[in-house]
Amino acid sequence: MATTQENVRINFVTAYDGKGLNNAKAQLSGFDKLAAKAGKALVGLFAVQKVEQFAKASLKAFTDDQAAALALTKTLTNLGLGFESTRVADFIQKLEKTTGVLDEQLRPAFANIVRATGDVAKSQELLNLALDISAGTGRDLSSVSLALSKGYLGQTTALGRLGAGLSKAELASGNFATIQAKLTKLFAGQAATAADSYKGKIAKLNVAFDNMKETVGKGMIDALTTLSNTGGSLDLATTGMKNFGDEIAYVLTELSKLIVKIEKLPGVGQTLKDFLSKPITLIPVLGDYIQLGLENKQRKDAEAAAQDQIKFGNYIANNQKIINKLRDAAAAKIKADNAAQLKAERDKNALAKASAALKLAEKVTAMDQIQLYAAIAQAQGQDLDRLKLQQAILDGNAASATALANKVLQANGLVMDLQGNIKVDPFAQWLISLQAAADNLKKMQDSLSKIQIPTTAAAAAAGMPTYTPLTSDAISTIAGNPAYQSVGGNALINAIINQQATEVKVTVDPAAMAYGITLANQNQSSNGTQTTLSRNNPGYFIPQS
Amino acid sequence: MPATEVADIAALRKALTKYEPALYKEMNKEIRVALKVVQKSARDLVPASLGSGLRNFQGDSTTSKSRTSRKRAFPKYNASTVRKGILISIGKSKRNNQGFVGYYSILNRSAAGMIVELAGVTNPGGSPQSQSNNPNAGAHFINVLNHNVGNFGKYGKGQRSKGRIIYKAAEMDQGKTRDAIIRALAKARQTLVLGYGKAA
Repeated sequence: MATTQENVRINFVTAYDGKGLNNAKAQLSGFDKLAAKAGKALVGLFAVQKVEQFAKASLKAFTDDQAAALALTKTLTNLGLGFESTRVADFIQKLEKTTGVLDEQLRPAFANIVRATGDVAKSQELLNLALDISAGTGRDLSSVSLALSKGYLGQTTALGRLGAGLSKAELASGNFATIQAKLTKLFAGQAATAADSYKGKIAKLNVAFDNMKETVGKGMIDALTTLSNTGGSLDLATTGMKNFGDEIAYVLTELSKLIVKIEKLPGVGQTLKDFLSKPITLIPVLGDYIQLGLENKQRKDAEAAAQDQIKFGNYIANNQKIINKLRDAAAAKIKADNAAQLKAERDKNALAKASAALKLAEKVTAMDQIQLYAAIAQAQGQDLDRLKLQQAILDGNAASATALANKVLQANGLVMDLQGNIKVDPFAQWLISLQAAADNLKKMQDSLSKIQIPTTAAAAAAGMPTYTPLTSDAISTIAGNPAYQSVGGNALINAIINQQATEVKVTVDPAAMAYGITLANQNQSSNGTQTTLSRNNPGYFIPQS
Repeated sequence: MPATEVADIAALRKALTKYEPALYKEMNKEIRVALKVVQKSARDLVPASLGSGLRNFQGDSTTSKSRTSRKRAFPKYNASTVRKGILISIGKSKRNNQGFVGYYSILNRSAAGMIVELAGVTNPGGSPQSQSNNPNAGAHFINVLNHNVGNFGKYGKGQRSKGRIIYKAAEMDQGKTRDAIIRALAKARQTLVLGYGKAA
């Protein structure tokens, strides 16, 4: 339920963040060490043998600080900037507080820079940059400030050695404005970040401690000067300070001895330990109440935290049925999702496989095309048709492929039905038979054409009967024969001789005809009995004379 | 009605993000729906005007100055801005000084909204450190707010868990939103656990 000025916020769910605890532990551990150191330092501080050292350290810190301040003031005065001394001192003091860098380091660094620039504002800017670079690179402020002051004057070698990410070209250019812009960009905010870190905070503590020493040192000098009645002479005051230290040492030694003795006393020792562990309880009356209140608060906080955990546990337990239902529904959904996902993966794999096969087929097809072209160039007849068919298939030319397929099938006595089934052509045999018959007829014709009619002489030579054509005399004789003439032979003979169509009349003997008909009837009947015909008009068969 | 501690919420969110982003989105969607109820309720609590008596806070006739900031003037009350500043967040907050991190929150982010929300929480009679020439200015300001916006609502433990807008809305919600969030978290956790074949 955090309510800050930046955010008014209500959290409905919270969780303890162990990371924070670990960080806190680390920080506490660091703080413990610091506290231990501080404790040791304090113990040492008040220890007899350290009192003199502390006094000396304080005095040294003060004198060093004053010397550095005077040196810086002198530098500014020499540069004609003496009137800026107060402003610079304030700047250094503020910088010391914000960055945790001691003024002992800041003053020489500022002096280095101001000697080069001769301008307080520019020097402040560069000192800030130097602090950023120092924090970013881990190099000491003195060397960084020296490098910057040299760089400002055109000597960029030292800047290159800082390892601050400046290129050779940038360094060689000698353009300090460019270099400063680059460094500002690279190291912006490094000093502030470092100051915000734990180390930075320790450094700030260190600064505060150092300042305290300086203040103590100054106070001691003032006090000793006053006490020793030296009229402001430090030389005489030193003796007074030594005496003061000796006195303090004596008192503390005796005090430590007294504490040891007190601890050994029965009852008193325990009280001293209690004082160290629960100092509040030692406050009369009120201390007990305060301690009780603190313990009650801790107990209540623990109970509240436990109660929240229990409530959440009960909540889950009370809603077990809902959870079971949700679990079943979720399981079913997961199963369905898994199945869908599996199917999608399968489809995807199949697609990938098909794609790969197609890619491979494309390559194979290209090879096939090449081979086909080569084969077509050399093939002929049926092979050519077959190859052209393959090419048409590869080219996807359906019309050509169909025509060529039919051609190839026909050549092999096969046909394709409407369903695309290939079978033997039922008419193919007929054609073959017809072709065979035609071939045989042709052969016969050829054989007959080869037969030669033998000449009379050849026939006579071969002992065959010869045909002697009628001579004109013989024909005349026949023509003059009345026997031939009575039967119309004359006309026949003329026809033969003249090779002309002539009407020939044949006269048949009626008796012979009747006999012939009767004989024919008998031969044609089944029982050999002549068929009797009834004649109504006997004159019908009377042959004409 | 304090926030409920869910010890493994960071791990749950991390696991959901990594292994079940769809489920994580669905869960966040459910939680958003639950949070929007409080958001709407809170926005409804923002009055269009704070009435008379706070001319410098809500009028346009004067230029406000801040006594504590040189960069930013004292904000002016604008109901629309305050309403727009009431937001929901499903992210996590910064760790508080006790190491706790908050999740699934409702925020009052506008400057004027924060003032209306919290003025008088710590000092109901006005801050003793007030720099106003009028010694009763703080008390007057708080009284006007109490009169026009309403008294404080409380959600959570501690003296400072009070406010006039989002705290009031959360109090009026009576834990329903919190329960819905817990339910959504439990559901997502169960689904996640089942999805990886482990016992609940």
